[in-house]
Amino acid sequence: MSPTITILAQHLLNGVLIGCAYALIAMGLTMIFGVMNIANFAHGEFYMLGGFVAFYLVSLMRLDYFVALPLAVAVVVALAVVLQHSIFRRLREAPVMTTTLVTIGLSIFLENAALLLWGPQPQSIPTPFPPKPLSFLGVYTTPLYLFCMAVTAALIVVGHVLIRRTRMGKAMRATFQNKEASALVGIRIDRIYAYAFAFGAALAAAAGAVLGGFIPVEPASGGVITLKAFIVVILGGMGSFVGAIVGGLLLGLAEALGAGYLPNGWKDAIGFFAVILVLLLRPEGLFKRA
Amino acid sequence: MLDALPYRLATIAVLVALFAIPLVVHDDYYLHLFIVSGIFAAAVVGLDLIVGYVGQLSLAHAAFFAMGAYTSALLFIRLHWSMWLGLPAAALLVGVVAIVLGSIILRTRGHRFIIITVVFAELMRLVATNWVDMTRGFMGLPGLVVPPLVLPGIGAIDLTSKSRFYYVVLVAAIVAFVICRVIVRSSIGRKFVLIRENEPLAESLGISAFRYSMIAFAVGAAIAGAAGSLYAHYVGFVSPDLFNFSYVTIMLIMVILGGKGTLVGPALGAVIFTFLPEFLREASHWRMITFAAILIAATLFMPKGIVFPLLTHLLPRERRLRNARAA
Amino acid sequence: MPALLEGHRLAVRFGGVAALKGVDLAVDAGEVLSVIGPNGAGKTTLFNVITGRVRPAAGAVLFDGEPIHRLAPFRIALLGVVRTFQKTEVFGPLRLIDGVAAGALARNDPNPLARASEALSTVGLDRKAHLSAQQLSYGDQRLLEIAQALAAKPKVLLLDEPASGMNHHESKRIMKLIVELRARGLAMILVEHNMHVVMSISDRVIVINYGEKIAEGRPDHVRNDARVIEAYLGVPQAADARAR
Repeated sequence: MSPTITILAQHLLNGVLIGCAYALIAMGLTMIFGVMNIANFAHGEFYMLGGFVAFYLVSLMRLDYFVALPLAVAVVVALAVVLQHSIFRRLREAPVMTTTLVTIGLSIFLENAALLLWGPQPQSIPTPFPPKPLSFLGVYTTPLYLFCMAVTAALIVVGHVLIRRTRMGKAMRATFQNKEASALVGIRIDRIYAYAFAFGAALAAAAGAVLGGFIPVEPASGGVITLKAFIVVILGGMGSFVGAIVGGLLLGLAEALGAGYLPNGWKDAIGFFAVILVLLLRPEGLFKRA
Repeated sequence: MLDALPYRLATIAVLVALFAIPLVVHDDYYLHLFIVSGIFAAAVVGLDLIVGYVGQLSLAHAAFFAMGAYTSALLFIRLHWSMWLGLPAAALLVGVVAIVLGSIILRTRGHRFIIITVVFAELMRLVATNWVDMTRGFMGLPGLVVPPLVLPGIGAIDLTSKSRFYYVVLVAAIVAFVICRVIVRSSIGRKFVLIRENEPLAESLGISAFRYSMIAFAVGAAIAGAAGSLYAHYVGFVSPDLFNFSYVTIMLIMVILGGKGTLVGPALGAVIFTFLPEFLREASHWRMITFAAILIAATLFMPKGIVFPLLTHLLPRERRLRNARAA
Repeated sequence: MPALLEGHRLAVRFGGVAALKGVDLAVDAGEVLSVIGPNGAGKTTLFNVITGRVRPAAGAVLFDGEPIHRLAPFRIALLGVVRTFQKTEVFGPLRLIDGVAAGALARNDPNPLARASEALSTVGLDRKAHLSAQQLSYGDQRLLEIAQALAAKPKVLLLDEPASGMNHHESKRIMKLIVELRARGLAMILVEHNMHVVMSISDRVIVINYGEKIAEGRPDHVRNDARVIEAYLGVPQAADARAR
């Protein structure tokens, strides 16, 4: 292959993993937004905690990597359930400003709690994969990268199946469309809320736990992740799971290309410009509501 | 209501006390806190217009503050404009940016609006960090000074001492407060409240939510820009740190815990939440954790804030009723 | 001579569904036009297209001869076409006098509270002016909505189910108010399900079914129209006649 194409392919490959991660995180955010009508400003903190708890379990408690990852997700889900029960349950019909302020407060709380517990140092989760690079046709990757990519892609599929095929998933989507009607046909709204919040947190935490071996996590990473997730959700249309998946992948790829071809530091701006453009040209998002 | 004699007397008393502070307080450290309080008070009364009166949660306000700081700094460093020119220029420029941004986003509501304001703020942070030719990126722009006040016949009055600069900030804060008060008590301000309480109904009766949200947004932004300019010249330098989300957080805390939709509440909030962190100086993360917990608790259980309701609680019952009815 | 408010061949589509198909209507000052029809027939959509909340796919709305269907809702209101809503809309915790002043404030009236006071007197809520909207009973809130609209100095008033949920006494109050407003020269369009109200005070009635106008005329004429009965009862009139 010619060098330009090889370089392009390399950038694209680099972007797929981040794209999958964005897709997972955005799916979770969409679920919380669609069911609970809450823009979860603390969503990135679930990602960050997924990474940090996994790090703690692997490096300090010496758990097996493949056990620590799901366990980390479970811990974050447990936290989400507690938060839902103590705080978000009270916010069912609350106005936008109220719920937003609460999630902003939560985000600050969790970030600073993480700073207290683990300090500001970025941490990488030690993984059992050899650092040996593999190459196909001039494009380089590592076993860890392939593992992360496989797991996140699998989780996207699993998430998609859960939403579309299971009874709970269908109930959650029904609540999206019409809360009153759902309550009338017997769907227990409180339960749905709890599941939606747990589901959203689980996906974000999984992304954090998986990616934590590849990209170092720090307590401050939550904020950027939340912002990126919001961008994906807005681009994809605020109620669409397909939009979240496609939007996440696109953003990941676009940022990888940007990192490769744009001057330093501007790759993050791609998403921002895209949002402003979409808002100007197609305010309802690129996809229809799920 | 607020023209009644006891209120007028109280206002005069407060003003006298504020002007007397440098005569009583000689410690530079405390004067510094008063100065910073005053700058933030100016910034957050502007924020209250859109958050408290129109009822839209804008997270772009701190970015307007930072943009004002950068504008004033750049005008000083590159064109040698003193703060006396830089401040109004910063207010004007930030106001114009707010109008442009507003024309794009003020037709959206709710979650989408809030998220776009964050996106904009982050974009501004990226620009400040990466447009190194203009802003020197992380290195920031140092070397800003407080200019002397040149009066005909008297000559140049040096304002660099904290007690002198305090008066500059005090006057600015009072001007900002008065501007917001005049707007809020006019028919414009009444329309803000009607939009907040039921926007579709207000529209169907002839009030353009877009137009009035824009007024609140742009005026608030311009005031924040002016406050930013003061901050830049006082502190002496600007850096991309000014765009950190912590500024958004602290301004929100000042407005919400102070009592949104009252102007006085946020102004008091600015003073309290400037002084309070200093007294909790050592435990920086604990401080933020505590503030976050208070913010969550207050939003859940005390939607009218803490400071302002506490204040009105001290008033005789009759005044409190009149307050509640006119709110 | 053109009527004060006219709708010409109004068509509205939502996605693939035609909510209105070529509806004509006209109402003049001092006239009460009622719009009736089964649920989902398109009556509220008609209001929405007249007040600018929805754009027509085809057709036009003319006020005083000028097309208004492309204007923003707040501008249409300022011209003098004001509506109330099916689901009660008020200004929550504000005092009645402050909420009702909205319409006057919108028109930059030099004395909005006086206008609000007048409007409250017209509907009979002046003694409760210092209360907040949340403190009112349902019936009073529906009256409040009319006061809110009146303060905006409407020339055409669109009332969306003003008598819904009202008991006999409250309905009479509303009817009396509508008659009085008609005497003052207001043009009014009513969407209403309460047939007693419709038959008692309407000058003309139009019947909408599945987005189309199927009948128009004086109340007693329309009530006996075969197509109207069929629309409501779903029974072809011929079969009914044979059964007698």
